Amino acid sequence: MTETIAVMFIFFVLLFFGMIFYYRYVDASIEGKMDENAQRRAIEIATRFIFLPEVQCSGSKTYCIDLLKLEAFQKVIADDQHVDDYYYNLFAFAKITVQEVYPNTQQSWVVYDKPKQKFTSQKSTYFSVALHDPRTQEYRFGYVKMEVYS
Amino acid sequence: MILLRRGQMEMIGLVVIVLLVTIAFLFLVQFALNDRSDPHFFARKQLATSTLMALSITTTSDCVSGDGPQIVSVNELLKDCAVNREGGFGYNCKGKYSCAYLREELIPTLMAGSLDTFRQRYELRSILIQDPDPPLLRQVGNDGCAARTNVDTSGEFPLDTGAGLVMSTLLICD
Repeated sequence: MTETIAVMFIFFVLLFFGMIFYYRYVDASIEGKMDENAQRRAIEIATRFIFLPEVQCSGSKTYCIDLLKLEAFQKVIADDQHVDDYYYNLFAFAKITVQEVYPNTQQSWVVYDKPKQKFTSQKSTYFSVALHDPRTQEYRFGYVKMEVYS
Repeated sequence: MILLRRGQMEMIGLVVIVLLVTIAFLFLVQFALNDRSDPHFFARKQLATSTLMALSITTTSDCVSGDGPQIVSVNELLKDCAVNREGGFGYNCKGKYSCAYLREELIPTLMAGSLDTFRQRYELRSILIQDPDPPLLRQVGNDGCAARTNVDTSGEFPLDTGAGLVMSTLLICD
């Protein structure tokens, strides 16, 4: 009888520690997966924006944004609520900023800004882009900063 | 006697259960410790590819050639650098020949505004395949990627020049 109780005791102690360990592992892996998913979503939305025909450079150049198209796009989104709703379906709760690095470091464009009121996490991801100015035929250097809320 | 034997059988059963639970627990620990997935690899890969692609077509108006002031791209400067390693011909940018201008001015400026701002470790390297040492261009940021485990590359970007093929690669790591 005593031996049975001792073995049962050890069994439950092991089961208890095993459950604690498993709970912590699952908890950490869920956090990791959520982080990974948020990061993926940020990359997905950034890619969607960079390859959007409304802003992409004409021709075969990738990671290139046409500045004339970008300025027009920014204006249309700001002015028209229906257009804004349409892009909400593409970008959801996010902020898209295009920052010029060279030659003019001060120039930036906030293209889309729809923050979530009560967000639990905010992920930022960056893509470098060439900014084409068709007026001067220059290709400036910059980056797209994508902030995604969830 | 029969009762004692039944008690022993129960004991053996319990010991087997304890052993099975222990083995399962050890397997769980092993799997947990071996799980080293890297969630940021795709972000690094995309950043490396986009940076090298955007950088190669970026233009500057700092250069002059025999025809006067020119708007030239990084790729054109790299071609000129491969052909005129020591300068003397080709483009003159702010008093420097192409290689020196790329190495000392343009590339550090572009990287300072982008990858350095994101506090990202990186290594940019352009070599002439026929004559790889020394490289035409080598820029290391935030201690580079030597001895790092999470390293991603843009892939090799080839550029055909009069002196041969130039290969550019950008490594980005955490």
